[in-house]
Amino acid sequence: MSTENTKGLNSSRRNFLKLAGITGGGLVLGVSLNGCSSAPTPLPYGTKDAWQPHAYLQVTPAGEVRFFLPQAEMGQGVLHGLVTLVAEELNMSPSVISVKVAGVHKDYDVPGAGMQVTGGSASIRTRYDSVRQSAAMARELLITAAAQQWGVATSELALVDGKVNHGDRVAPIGDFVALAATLPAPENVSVKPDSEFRWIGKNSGPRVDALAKVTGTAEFGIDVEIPNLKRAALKRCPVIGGKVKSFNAKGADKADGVHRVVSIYNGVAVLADHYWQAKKAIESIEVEWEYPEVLTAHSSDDIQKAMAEALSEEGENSFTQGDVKRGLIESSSTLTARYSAPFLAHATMEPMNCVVHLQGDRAEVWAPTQAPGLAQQIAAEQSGLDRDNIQVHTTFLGGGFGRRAFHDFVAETTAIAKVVGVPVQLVWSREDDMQNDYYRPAAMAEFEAGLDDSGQLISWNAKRSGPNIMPYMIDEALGMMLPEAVPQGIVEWLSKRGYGVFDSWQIDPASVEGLHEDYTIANKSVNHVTVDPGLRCGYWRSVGHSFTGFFVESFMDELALKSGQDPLQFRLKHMQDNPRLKNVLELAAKKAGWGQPKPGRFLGMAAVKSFESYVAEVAEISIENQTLKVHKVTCAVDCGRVVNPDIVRTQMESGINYGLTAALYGDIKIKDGAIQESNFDDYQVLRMNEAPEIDVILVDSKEAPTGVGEPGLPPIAPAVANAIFAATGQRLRSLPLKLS
Amino acid sequence: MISFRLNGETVSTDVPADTPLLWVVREHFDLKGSKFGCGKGLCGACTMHFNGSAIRTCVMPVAAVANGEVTTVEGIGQPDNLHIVQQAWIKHNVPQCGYCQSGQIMSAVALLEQNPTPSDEDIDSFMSGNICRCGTYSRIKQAIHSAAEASSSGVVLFDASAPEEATA
Repeated sequence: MSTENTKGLNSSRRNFLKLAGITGGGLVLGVSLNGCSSAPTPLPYGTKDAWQPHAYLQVTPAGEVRFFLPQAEMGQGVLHGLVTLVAEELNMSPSVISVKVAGVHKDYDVPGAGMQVTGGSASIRTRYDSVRQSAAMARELLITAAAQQWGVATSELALVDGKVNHGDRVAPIGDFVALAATLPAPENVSVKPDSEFRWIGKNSGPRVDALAKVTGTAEFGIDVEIPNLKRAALKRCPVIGGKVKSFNAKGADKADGVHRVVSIYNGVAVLADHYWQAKKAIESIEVEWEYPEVLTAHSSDDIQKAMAEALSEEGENSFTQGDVKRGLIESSSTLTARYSAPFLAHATMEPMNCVVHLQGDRAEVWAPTQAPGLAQQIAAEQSGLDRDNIQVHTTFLGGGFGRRAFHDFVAETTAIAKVVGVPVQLVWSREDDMQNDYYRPAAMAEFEAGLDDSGQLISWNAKRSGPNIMPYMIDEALGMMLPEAVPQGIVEWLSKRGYGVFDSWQIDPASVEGLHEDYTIANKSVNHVTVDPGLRCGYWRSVGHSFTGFFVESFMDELALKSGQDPLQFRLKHMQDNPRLKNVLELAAKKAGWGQPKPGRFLGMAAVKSFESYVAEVAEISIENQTLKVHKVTCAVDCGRVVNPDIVRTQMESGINYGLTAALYGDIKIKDGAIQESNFDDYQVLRMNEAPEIDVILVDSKEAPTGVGEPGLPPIAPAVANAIFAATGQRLRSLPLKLS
Repeated sequence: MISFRLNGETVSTDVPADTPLLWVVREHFDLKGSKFGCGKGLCGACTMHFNGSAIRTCVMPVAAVANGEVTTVEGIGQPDNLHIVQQAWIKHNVPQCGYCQSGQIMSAVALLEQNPTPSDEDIDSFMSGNICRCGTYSRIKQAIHSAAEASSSGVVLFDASAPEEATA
């Protein structure tokens, strides 16, 4: 029997659990089809003259099909992926469908999640059915309308490439929109059978957002222009959370182009005609800061020490199966090892930015955001306006990786706009961005495992120490979860108490996910000890798996060595309950030539299930003159039904390269609460000359589709670390990997 | 008053001489294709051409381009008239988030103008100043090779007016 910790369940917690399921991964979400009526739903962008069979879709009398994209496009290809589903059911090319980013509306909430958010590699997983069903319904209604208009049977009609055909008679779908709009929605619609797919599972032409992105015309948040827009730059406390005691503008207010110098809750802002004027002017401002007590008292060394010491505490149990202590006693050999991973920044290419226009009791917000409903809520808290009176326009995101699920940049911009009374764009510098992130939490873990005479693992004891993400997410999201009748002042007060509220509930799933799940071992236990220095933490691509993947898959290599077994064979003999992970591991090992590395090259492997997808990677490296080079990564992925093979490949490539930056370089250091890294010179990221060749194998699967934005990342750091061991005999147990 | 040619047209501005070219082009001339990434010439998102060479415009004072020829991504090709490098980018599905790609494309165009048949090492060396956090590097490399081949053979790699069919 296994038990999950579920103490103190209460009604409000269910909302948090749902949220955790989306952003932290793990929970399976139900699919519901909202708004299935032919009556138009009042949506943020209105219906114009179009027929709106579903919140996702409009069809105009001219035959234009509009898809309202309910997810954020931040590079992962969700725009093309979801449009492909619409295209398939309407039997027309994805390239001719107009795409508009949906505004905030309950009909766009992630099915079952109660909010609109892009994260947890959940977009395709949670919308595959509802998007197809909405388009299938539109198709059925158009065909029914055509049948009535022409006086023929629906079975004699076909809808192909935007036209309805009846023998030689052909008419554009727009001709049937007026009648279709009057028809009742069918109770059941059938989606296309797999055998008839024209687009799903194929490389359906170039991504539909590619043309705009190679011509410089794609609009990111930083590109937004509205009339009378003024630009702002903000000087913040060197330690996140500090407040302004007093300031001296030192002439900044008199500088060229500067309109105002104003103080907000966390800093002093300069408002100018142009960004460069604002940016230059803030440099001269002198501020006396009120430093946050807890974080200012901490530096990297003492945080590391506290996390290490915490591993000797018992902590809270998050998972138990069998009897670990007994298993260890019965083992013929045991092994203990301790691993660590640092805080990390997201370093999206587009620094945080936002445009806010307050107009009386209404407001508009333009933001590159992963959760427009949260952006709306945060703008409401800062402006004092009702949520429903704030319209959020989501732009393209210049990278997200979890950073843009947090909306401090929206809060700041709204606070400035409220003081100055004109439309404001706030643009962060790279330094602002690096030093005011919601960081990937640092983590340490200790493992103790026992093997029997045959080299089979019989006991697995894991303990993680470090900070949690959930309290910081609660600070951000509480207002979304409370009924709208709760006054904003109370929401704000409550939201600053994330830790107090949260501690008594449960262990953050994101802190322990991945510590035991992938292998079959009779006795398992996972414990957790929270150590939080007060540095805010957030979702970072693959979340908990970004460190637990490294810990577990490095330790499995150590155990293989300890028991004298090949790392591949050792893993396979513990994967009997995880056939899909076993399959990808075997595929990657075979393709990479496991066991037969080229002369001077060394191989390391890792396999991790995350966000319901299965990924194995084999890294091929060399080490010459103490210099590590990752030459090639062979990757096998099983994400169920593949919607677009080339986009799946790009996401594996992306996760691997993003993960390599963390494996080789990423390390955020803290001194007296202040982040020491500032830009790409002291926070090194992977460049072209370091990027490996990547070979991706896709499993041909009929299982339900799952996500690909994150699962490519977790195996790469342990695969490289294991290859380093093969090359040198050095077992590197800390990230980033540094050869000694 | 500082004058220069921007995508073939003469423009003038009275901003202070030390204002970075990037911000002048983005805010005064409303060309938003070139992006702000680091402000220190470390990431390449702001890359434009100055008299044919790739430059990092977030650290280039506008005075330094006076009377010169500046080209941005908008100047090398448009949706109905794509540069071969832009075509190759689409063909190889290079852009993910897309934010760095204007700069990547401007660097690649400059590379191919200097060296029409670059090796992998030439590409690594020239393109390492352009960061991509989505990790599109291997596709950029393939796209540059494709563009180099297509330039010499005159092949069209992508035509926006003729959408492609799905392939297995």
